[in-house]
Amino acid sequence: MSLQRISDVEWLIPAEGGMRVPGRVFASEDLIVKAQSDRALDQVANVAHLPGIVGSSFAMPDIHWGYGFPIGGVAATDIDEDGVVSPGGVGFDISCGVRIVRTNLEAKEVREHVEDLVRELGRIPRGVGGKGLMRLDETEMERVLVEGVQFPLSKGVGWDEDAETCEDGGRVEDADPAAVSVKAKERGAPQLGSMGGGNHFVEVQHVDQVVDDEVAKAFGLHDGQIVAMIHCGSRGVGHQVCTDEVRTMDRAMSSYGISVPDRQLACVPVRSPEGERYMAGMAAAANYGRANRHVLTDGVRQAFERTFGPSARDLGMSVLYDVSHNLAKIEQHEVDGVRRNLCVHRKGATPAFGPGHPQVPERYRSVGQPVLVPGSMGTASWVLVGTSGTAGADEVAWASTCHGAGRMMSRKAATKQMHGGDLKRQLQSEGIWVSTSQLRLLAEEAPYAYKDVSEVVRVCEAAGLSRRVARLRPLAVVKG
Amino acid sequence: MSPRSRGHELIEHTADVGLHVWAPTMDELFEESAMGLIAVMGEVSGASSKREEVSIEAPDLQGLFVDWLSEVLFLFEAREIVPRAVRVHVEDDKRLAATIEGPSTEAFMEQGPAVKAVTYHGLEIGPSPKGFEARVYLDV
Repeated sequence: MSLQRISDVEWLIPAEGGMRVPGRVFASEDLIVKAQSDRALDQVANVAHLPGIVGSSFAMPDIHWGYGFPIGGVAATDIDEDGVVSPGGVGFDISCGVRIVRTNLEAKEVREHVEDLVRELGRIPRGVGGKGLMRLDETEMERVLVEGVQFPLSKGVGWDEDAETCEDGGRVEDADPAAVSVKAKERGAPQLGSMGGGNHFVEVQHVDQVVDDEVAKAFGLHDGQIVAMIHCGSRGVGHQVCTDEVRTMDRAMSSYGISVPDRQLACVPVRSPEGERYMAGMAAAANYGRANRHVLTDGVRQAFERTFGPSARDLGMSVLYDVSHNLAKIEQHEVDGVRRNLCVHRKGATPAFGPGHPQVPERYRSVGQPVLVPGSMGTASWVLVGTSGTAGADEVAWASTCHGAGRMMSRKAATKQMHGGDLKRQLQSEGIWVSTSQLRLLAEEAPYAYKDVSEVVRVCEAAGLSRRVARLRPLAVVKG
Repeated sequence: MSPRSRGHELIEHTADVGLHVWAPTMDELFEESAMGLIAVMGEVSGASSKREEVSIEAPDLQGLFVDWLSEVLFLFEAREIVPRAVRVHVEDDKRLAATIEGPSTEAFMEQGPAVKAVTYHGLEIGPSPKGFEARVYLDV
């Protein structure tokens, strides 16, 4: 595999062997060196083998080694030309994503009560086998899979207007609970409103830098303001749907004459019984993911109410946006000047549509889609805005951008570098309070295990993927 | 290490966790892998109070291995059983029958990341000087 530099922020992997399109990686010199340290670029080349892939196999600046697809991979297939869908291009955590809840509190008010706030947020369920804030019976589970955030709303959980500022209005169309196995439902039923583990978290952050005043204003953000960020996904439902459908496609693939360089890339045409079943099951899991972040929002609002006294409404705790970074969607894009129906896989990549696009909620349509980029604890998170389609800005990578900092160190290596207790004390000395269910695991998610998120979002801007709006710094981290 | 020994250890991977397992027979390799999968997440003490029976068919050995560990993970998360006494019988590399006994997850002590799923990524399984060996990556 060869790698050619195209610009300061873009690299080309020319199509060779079974690659149907080239690979294109958005990265600075520094970030490409990090991407080369594992086999992530080979995975970009492997994805280029998928039947029906158009354009390029893209990688965002936060690319790192995954399984099948790289994390930070974006690939679109033409569904009218036997284009495939690959569950590995979405990942096990279907609709894993980020939600930001605003407040009208200022950093200094929160600092005085941060210990109380962390304790209250610590009540939110997390970790291995964590049971959720809502336990669902069979009928309720089916409803979540179809209705997304509308289900908890119908039970009086959350605010009606919350749905308006969610991607897809908090409810993905074409979801079919019959395409979700009994096992997946059994895993998910007790878990709604739980964080899970790994890199999932709830953070209390303050806006510490506004880069674009106009867009920040449109997003309801200002310097010094406190917000809460929720990062998690569809829990056992998504994990099981992906497991089930990789198995199905692994077995069905050869009947469509498809072979792939990595078994985790198992795929079938979108327009096939197996493909349609996956799309309907994935949409159902995505509805669960959105409902999960919605129920967690209720837990976050209650924690703020118990800490600060006034109601969440008086605290101005409205939802800025909710967007997922692990999903496949049928979207229309131009390929060689012709509008085509594409299945766009974003695995660790965020949709970033520009002003005027129908996928942008009405409230933000004049400025563009909000992009929520979680950092790792102790480092900044970012709010970006989609730019594709704006004057002079061609659509790049099917209107996608980064999703986070991207790991660069294994969990084991990270824990060798520092003990969890020392890390907790160090972060506290920097004004960041951390609550974790397992102190020993804390160092796995240490800031030094991740790439520099500021460099990642800078490269996204230079490559025309998205623009920076505001930087957020954590005051309190509740780890999954 | 004696040729009759069995065991497991973690493998490093940027975002995920790998498991290296060895055992003198294929049946024991499958048994040891189930124990290794759960050990990634933590451990539990207490008497066995739950029992599950499993039978799986797959097109090949790799598929059988991934399906087996996926099933163990499902039973752990949904049926809340921590495998302690595991008996597996593998037939023709394409079928297995197993019984799993163990305590409930109620008192499970978390000591590691929550495993989301079992992947085909970099999967290796087959005969080796130790008898049989497998390498498998887990999404955490």
